[in-house]
Amino acid sequence: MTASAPAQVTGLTALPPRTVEFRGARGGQAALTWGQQGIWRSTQWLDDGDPYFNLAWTLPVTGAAGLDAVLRAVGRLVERHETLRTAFVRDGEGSGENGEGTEGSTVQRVSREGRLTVGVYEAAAKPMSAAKALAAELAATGFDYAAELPIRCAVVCQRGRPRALALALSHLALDGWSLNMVAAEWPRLVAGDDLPGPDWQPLDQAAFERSDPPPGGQALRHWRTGLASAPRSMFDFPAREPEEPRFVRHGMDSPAAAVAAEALAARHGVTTSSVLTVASAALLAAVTGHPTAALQLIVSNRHHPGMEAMAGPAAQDGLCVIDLEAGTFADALRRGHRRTMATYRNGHYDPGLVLAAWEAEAWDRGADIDLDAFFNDVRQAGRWQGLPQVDTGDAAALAALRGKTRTFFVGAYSKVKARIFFATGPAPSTCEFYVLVDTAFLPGDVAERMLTGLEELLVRALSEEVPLDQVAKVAGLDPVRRPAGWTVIGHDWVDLPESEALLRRVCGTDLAVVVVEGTGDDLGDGAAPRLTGYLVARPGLDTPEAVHAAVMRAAAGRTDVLAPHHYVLCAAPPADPTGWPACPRLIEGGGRAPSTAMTVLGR
Amino acid sequence: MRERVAELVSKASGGDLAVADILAADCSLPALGLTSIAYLRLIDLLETEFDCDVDLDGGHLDTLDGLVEHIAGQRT
Repeated sequence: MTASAPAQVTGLTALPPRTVEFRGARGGQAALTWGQQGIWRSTQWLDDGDPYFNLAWTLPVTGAAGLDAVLRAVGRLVERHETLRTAFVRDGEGSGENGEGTEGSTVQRVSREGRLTVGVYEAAAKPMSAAKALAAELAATGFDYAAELPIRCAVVCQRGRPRALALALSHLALDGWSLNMVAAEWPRLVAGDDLPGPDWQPLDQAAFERSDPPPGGQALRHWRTGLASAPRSMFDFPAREPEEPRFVRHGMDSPAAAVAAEALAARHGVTTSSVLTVASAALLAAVTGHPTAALQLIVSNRHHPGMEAMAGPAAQDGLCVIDLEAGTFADALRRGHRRTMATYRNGHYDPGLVLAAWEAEAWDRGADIDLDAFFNDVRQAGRWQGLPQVDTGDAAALAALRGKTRTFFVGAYSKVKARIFFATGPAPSTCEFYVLVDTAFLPGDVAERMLTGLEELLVRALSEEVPLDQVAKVAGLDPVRRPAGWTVIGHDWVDLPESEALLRRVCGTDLAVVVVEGTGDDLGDGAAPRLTGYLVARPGLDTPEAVHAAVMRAAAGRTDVLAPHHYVLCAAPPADPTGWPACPRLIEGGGRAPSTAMTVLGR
Repeated sequence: MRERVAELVSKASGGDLAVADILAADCSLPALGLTSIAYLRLIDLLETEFDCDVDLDGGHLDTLDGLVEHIAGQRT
C-alpha cells in the first residue's frame, strides 16, 4: 500500500519521500458498520475512481518539531485509528466466491501493520497555503478502496522545518466529526504525548451492531411510521427539461437569517437546527404543494456512547416527516422540533432492514417512495457562536443587517443523488446556507430564491405570525402548477391519465381503465380515495398479484403515477366504456398480500 | 429528582451548562444553550438513570420541569 505521487504544486520543491512503518494493536476483519455502509453505497453510485468522496485537509505543525517527529506522529495516528489502515474488500476476495460487489459481500479489513509513503516538500513561502493546494492535489484521485490505505499525506517544510501536513482522506475512513477528533489529537501526537488509545473502533462498532438483541429496533419503527406518513415524493408534479448540468447549487451568507433563527429558537424553545430544518421543509412544501414534508436529515449519530469517540464514519440518513398543514410557522416550529429530535435520535439502524421496510411500503402504496430531499446541519455542535448583537425588535437594525446578505452561485453538477439538498455551512458567525436543486423538477434559480425566501421567512416570523398557507407568498416563491388530471390520493399527488396509460401499457391493450373510488359523499371518515384498475385478464396477467408486480416494474423511478389500490380482472370489456364496474369479474384484489387482500370470484 | 435531572442536563452539555443555572432558568433548555446533540445525550442518560422511555412527542420536554414531570409520570 503506497501513496501515489502528486503532480507538481506551484511553489513547492519535492524532496525525497519517506516511508512510515506502522504496527497497530490489532488487525482484523468484520462486516461493514452501518455508517460505513452508507458511505460505501454512495461511493458505488459514482463511477470508479471518482474522487467526490475524498476529503482534502491540512493540519498545522507548530513548535520546533523536526521531520522525524512529524513522521512519528503520522505513524502513531495510523496506529491509533484502525479506520486509517482499513481496506474495503469483497469477502473471499482472491478465491472468487462472490461475483458482484454488493455491500453484503464487502467487508472492512484492518491491517495490523504496513507502510505509508509520505511526501516531503519544501515551500518557498506560505506553507499552509501550499499544503492546502497539495492536499487538493492528493485528493484529486479516487482511492482504490480495496488496495490502498485511505490516507495520503505529505509534510510541507519551510527552511527545512515542518510547518504543515497535507492530507487526502477517504470519506469511508473519516467523517467531519472524526476530522475534528484527529485535529485535536494532532498537536499532542507531534509533541510526543502519550495519548490513551481509543477504546472504540469500527471493528467494535460492527460487532455491537450484530449483537443479540441487535440495536436499532426503535429506529426501524421510526422509519416505518415515517414511511407510512410521508408523501411518496415531494416531487410528484410534471418534470421539466433539465438544465445542463442538471443539478444547480446556490449559497447564501446571511447574518440576519442567523440572528432571526436564534431569536425564533429562543422564543419557541427549540434549537436553531430545528428552525432551519422546519423552514426548509416549509419552503419545499409550499413550492411543491404538500401539507406534509419529508426530508432525510444527515444524522451524525455521535450522541451514542462509544460512537462519540470513534474515528470512522457514523452518520446515517434519518427520515423526518413534518406536518405543515395547519396553523402558523411558529406552530410548525414547535411540532417540527419534536420531529427533528425524534429523527436525530433514530438515525442508527441496519440499512438493510430499513431498505426492506422502504420497499414494502412502496409495494403497499403502489409507487416508489422517493425521499431524495435532504437537510444537513454541519455546524460545530449544531450552533453558531459570535453572532452580531442585534435587537431583533429593531426593524431598522435588522434591515441594516440584511444589507450584508450575499447570495452566490456555487456550482452545477451532472450527477447528484438528490432532488433537493438543504445544508448549512460551518461558518460560526453567520448563516451560511446552501440549496441544491434538480432542474429536471425545479428551475435552477429556485435554489437562489429559496435562500432569500428562507431569510425573509425567518425575519418575518420574528415580527408577525406567518400562516403556513402564506409561506410561498412571504418567501417570494411560485408553487408548481399541476395540469388537469392530477389529483390527491392519500398523501400523494397523482397524474391519473398517466396512471391509466401505464396500466394499459402493462396490459398491452386499451382494455383497461383506472377509476377513482371513495370520493365525494361516499368518502368515509378518514378514508382516502383509492384507485381501482379494471382490466381484461390474459395469460400471465390473470391475478391481481401478477398485474401489480407488472405495474410496479413499469412505474419504477416515476413520481407521477400510482398503481391501483385494487385490481378487478374481467373476462371481457363492457360494451360501454363506463360499464366496467358492472362487468362480470373473474378475480379481484389488491395484489399486495395474497392471503388477505385477494378475493376470488366466480371460481 | 429535579436536582438529579439538572445534573444530567449539565453532564449532557459536556459541562457547558452549570447545574445552578439550569435549576434557576426560567426558559427552555434550548434557550439556555442545550444543543441538539446534547439533548439527545440527555434523553439517553435519563432513560438509563430512571429506567423509563422518554417520548419525544410527549410535549413539554424542552424544560427542566417538563422533563421531571414526564419522568415522574413514567415511573408511577
